[in-house]
Amino acid sequence: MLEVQNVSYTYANRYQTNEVLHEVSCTFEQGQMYAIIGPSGSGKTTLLSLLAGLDLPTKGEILVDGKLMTSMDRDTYRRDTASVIYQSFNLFPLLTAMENVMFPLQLRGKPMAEAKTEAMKCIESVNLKESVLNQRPQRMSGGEQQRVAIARALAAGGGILLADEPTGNLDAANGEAVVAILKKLAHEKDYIVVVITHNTSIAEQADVVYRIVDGRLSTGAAE
Amino acid sequence: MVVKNSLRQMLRTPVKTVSFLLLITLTALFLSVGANLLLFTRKSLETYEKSFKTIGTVQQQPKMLKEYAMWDQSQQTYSYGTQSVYDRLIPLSVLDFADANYIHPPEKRPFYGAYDENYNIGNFYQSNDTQWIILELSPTEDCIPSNPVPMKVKRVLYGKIGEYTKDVLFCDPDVEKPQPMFADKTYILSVNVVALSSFYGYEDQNAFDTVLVPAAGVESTQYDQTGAQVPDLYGAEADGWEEVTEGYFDTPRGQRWEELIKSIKRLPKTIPVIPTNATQLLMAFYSGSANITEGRDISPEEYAKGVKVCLVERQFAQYNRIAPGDTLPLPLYFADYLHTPMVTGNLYYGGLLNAQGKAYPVFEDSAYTVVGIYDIYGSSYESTDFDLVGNTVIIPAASVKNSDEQNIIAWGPMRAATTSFEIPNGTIDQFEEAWNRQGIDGLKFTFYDKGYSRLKQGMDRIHTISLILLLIGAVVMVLVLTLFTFLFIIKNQKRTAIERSLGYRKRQCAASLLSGMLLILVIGSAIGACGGAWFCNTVIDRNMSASEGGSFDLAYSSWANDTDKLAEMRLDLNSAGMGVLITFCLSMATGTLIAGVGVRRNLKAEPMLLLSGKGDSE
Amino acid sequence: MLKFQVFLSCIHIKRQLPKNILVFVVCAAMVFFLCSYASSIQSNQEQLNSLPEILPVSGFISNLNGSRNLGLLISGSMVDSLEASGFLKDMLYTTRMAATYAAKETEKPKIVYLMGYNTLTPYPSIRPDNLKDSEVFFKGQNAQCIASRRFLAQYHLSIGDPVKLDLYWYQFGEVPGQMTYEHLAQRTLIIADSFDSSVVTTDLIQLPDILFPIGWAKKTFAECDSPFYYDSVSFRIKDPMKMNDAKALMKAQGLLSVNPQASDSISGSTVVINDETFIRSATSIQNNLTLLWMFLPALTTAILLASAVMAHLMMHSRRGEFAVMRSLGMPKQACLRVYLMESMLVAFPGGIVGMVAALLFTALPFSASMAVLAVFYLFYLLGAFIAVRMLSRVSVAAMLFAVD
Repeated sequence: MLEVQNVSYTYANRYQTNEVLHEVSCTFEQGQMYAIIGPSGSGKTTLLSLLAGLDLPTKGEILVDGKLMTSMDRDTYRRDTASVIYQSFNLFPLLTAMENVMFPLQLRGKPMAEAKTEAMKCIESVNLKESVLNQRPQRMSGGEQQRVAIARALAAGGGILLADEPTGNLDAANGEAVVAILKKLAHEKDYIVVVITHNTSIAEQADVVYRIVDGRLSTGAAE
Repeated sequence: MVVKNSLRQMLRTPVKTVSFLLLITLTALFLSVGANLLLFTRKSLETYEKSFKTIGTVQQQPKMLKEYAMWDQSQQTYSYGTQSVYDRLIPLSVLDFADANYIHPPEKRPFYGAYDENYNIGNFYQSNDTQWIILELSPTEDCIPSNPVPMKVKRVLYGKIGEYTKDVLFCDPDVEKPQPMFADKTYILSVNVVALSSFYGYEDQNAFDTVLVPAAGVESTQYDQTGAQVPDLYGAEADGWEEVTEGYFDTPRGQRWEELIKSIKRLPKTIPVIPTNATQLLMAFYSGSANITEGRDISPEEYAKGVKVCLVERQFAQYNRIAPGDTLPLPLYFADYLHTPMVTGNLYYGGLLNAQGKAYPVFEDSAYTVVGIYDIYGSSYESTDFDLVGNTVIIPAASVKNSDEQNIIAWGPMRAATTSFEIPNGTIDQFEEAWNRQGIDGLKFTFYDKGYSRLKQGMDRIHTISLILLLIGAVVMVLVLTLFTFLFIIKNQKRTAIERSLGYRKRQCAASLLSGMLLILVIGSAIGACGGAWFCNTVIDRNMSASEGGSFDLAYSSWANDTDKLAEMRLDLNSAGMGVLITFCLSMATGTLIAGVGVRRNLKAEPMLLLSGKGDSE
Repeated sequence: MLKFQVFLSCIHIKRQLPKNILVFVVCAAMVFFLCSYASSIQSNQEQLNSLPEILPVSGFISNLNGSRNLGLLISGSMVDSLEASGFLKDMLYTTRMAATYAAKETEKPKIVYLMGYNTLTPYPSIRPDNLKDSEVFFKGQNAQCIASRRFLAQYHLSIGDPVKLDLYWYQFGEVPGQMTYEHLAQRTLIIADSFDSSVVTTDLIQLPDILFPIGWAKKTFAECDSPFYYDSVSFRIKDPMKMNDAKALMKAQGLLSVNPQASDSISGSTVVINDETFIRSATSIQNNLTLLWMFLPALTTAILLASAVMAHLMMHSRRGEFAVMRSLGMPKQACLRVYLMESMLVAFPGGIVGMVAALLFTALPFSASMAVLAVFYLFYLLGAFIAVRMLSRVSVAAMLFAVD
């Protein structure tokens, strides 16, 4: 379970100080798909990056299974627990699809053969064609790239998958396919799946919808 | 607008832009400093090379050495010497062969005698008229002059003998059994005066007692240019003296004595003149025992064209109050192709008269302009043929327009002191190989290179490394520019794709990319080129020695007043505005060329592929 | 983990081969350049160091207008100071004396001319008939002499005979042929050998009848409390690179430069040094070295800065990948290590190739080329470290969530 307790986040630059999140509190439980919606600049991505351990809140706490995130090694957290997929896919341009998926496994010290076997399982679970496996991202379509990203996230196998506008660069069909995979992950594999989206149809498929407006969170259906 | 957008985008990637600008500046600086360095070190190496000259001398080897006996009157025995025998005299023309590669081809130098009544040669030559006398003698009794015999002085035709001296001693010390002389006859002789104590049995004598001995007489030793002796019309006299009979002086033989006296009288006012094609071919100058200390050397052009200029020896210049710029008449009247003037001042080794029995006439009479005065440092116990003697004038060989073939008093084989040439440094081995291919025996070459051959390997290494530096420097510059143009431009492929998808023509896309790059190139190249030139000039001004000897003190140096040599040492190291311009243009040209290639590559990529993320060249 | 980092670095290198080959070649060229530069300095220095041996510098004492280097009056104490200074070597001296000798007491003494030497090496035509090592003879101070054959014959003497001489010190006058004599002492010399001299003489120098070691003459003059003069002195500069010090000493001793306008004299007050070839050569090489050293900071700084900038830029372009690796849980140090390794795996072999090329084509010693390589790596790594430091400050979230 992921708990967000009165989290605020302020970023400051030379010109101004901006409170992006204000006393946000929410929980994310295993086996559910959550959607976070809100207008642009509302703080959705910031919340996601905090949940991913990429940053720490200015105020408040985030607990992972009851443990304070501040007390854990966030690199380990991202390696073993939480994975993120992005609107722009963020695959390694120099690595093939297979190598991208094997990356988290090799990072954990698994030998190449074992990593390859496990990576294949993840690749199969996202219905990725074999012909794509040895291609680099420049040669893949958007849908294929996102599937590789999801497979990579699965290879991390942590139980938490965070998705930032995963269908933003995809056509409707691919978008639907990706959401289906995410739902399956949540309901069948007991993942916590958190999706940031503008797409109401995706939000409607989520089990819980959080809404962020001007850095403040509320629960509620998509508008 | 294209350019403005380009600049705006560049400014929004400050790290990359500044890095690229820094890199271009460094590259241009590197090019400027590196090129200047290589230019300067090449100049310096050229100056180094000029410190050395390679001179070769030629000596014909005798076919054999023949022993000859000389009567030593003081020991009353024969002593033996060896004499070189040549089957033929090898002509100078054999040295003109393919692959010889001369800087100055071989010259077989004569020395000329120049006579002018107004010459003042100081005390250099002892006054002849007490040492060389022409007189009529008559023995007091019949005698054979193998030992000093008393003679009565009948008449002095030339020279000074003691005012009241009527009785003298005469001896022919060079012949064991000279011809007898009779008391009732009068003989005419050309004699020298020597000390009596040098004769056998007279060793205890007073050092001031003297004996007359035969000297050069009226016989001729004229040669032609083939080296053959011109037959003396009247034949050689026997034993060095002749009987004076009635009407003797009306005979052609008798008239020769007047000519002889005329010739002898010229000697104290005769100076040696050496014609050459380069001052350095004279070993005295080459070895540094003679140095130009006032004025300048004769230039290569003056030597080549035979301009009537000359170098004059210090003592002669002082006695005759000559300074550079003055004119000196040089009436040349004899040529000696065998000997060199001796330190003792003896200029004459052969007969004083030509084959017609006349004093040699002047064959070349010109006025020469003095361009330089030289000094000969030191006299030596072991003076050699290579030494120059006082009063010697040096002239361009080509300035003697008239032939000397009727005035040759001595001829012989090529000798090291009179035959020399110059070849490029470091080519001694090649020359010897080329010479050996000619298959001609009998000539010995001796080379002098002041240590160049021992230093050559080091010099070659320095040359090679300076070339490597130039090459690698250029390669580094091109590679660095290539790498960063590659990064700078290729990384902007997507931008090009966006611009094309928005309707920019290819030309406009190129302008968009290049304008920013070119601006960086211009600024960086200008800063680098100017900075490099400023650096070079500043550092050189501060660090390079302005003094003529570099860091060495020229005090006591034998060549310290030779302005030509000092000028050769000076390095002109200023980096001219032209250098800055060249560096700037080279940097711009290279950068633009490489950028142009990169831009072409960008424009070839399909925009839609790039925009869809599939066309990235990385 | 380290194995994986190496694996990643290698894949990155392989997948960007053209760029990495270019970097490799640039590094090789830069190191080759730096080594060649160092080799150029070394070659010039070696050439400069070899000059004193190959181009010896000699000199002699002359009279004021430089016309004579024999028959002079050269102060013995002054020359001894010069010799003691250590700046000069291979000194050659002569000194002259005259004597009167009578074979029998009843005979009228005749003038005999003597010459003292410290070596006969420069006078190949003066050769003792029997002595095997004349060098030892002339370096000594023994009261021995070598007499001319003519002298021996004239006075019916043989080797081993004593010769009792009334010694005079004499000097030439201003006018050629004029001489003045000063009585010194009576001494006996033993005839050690004979010689047959055929030296070409000038009208200034009398053929000596007797040769003696100069050390004996100095000793004799000292015993007579009479100042000693040399007749001629020549020398070589021991270390031509320190020529200025030698010349400074000569100046301090009061020795003058030749004045061609001066009249003839016999005072040995002037020095002439034949140093043209050495000075011209050494000055050229020194100029070369000065230029190379002067330009060294600018050129090497340019190259090394360029290599640092190159290293930096190579990493700067990989920020996106860095962010992704961080998001996947790779520790920061591990990420940075991947890039550093990638950088080093290209630059280091490049540098080594450049060094090897320099060893093959230039004469730079191995130790010097290693030093150059080390400096190059230092600067390259400096650039890489700076880039790495800047990378570590990258906002991972900002990189990851930026929309293209």
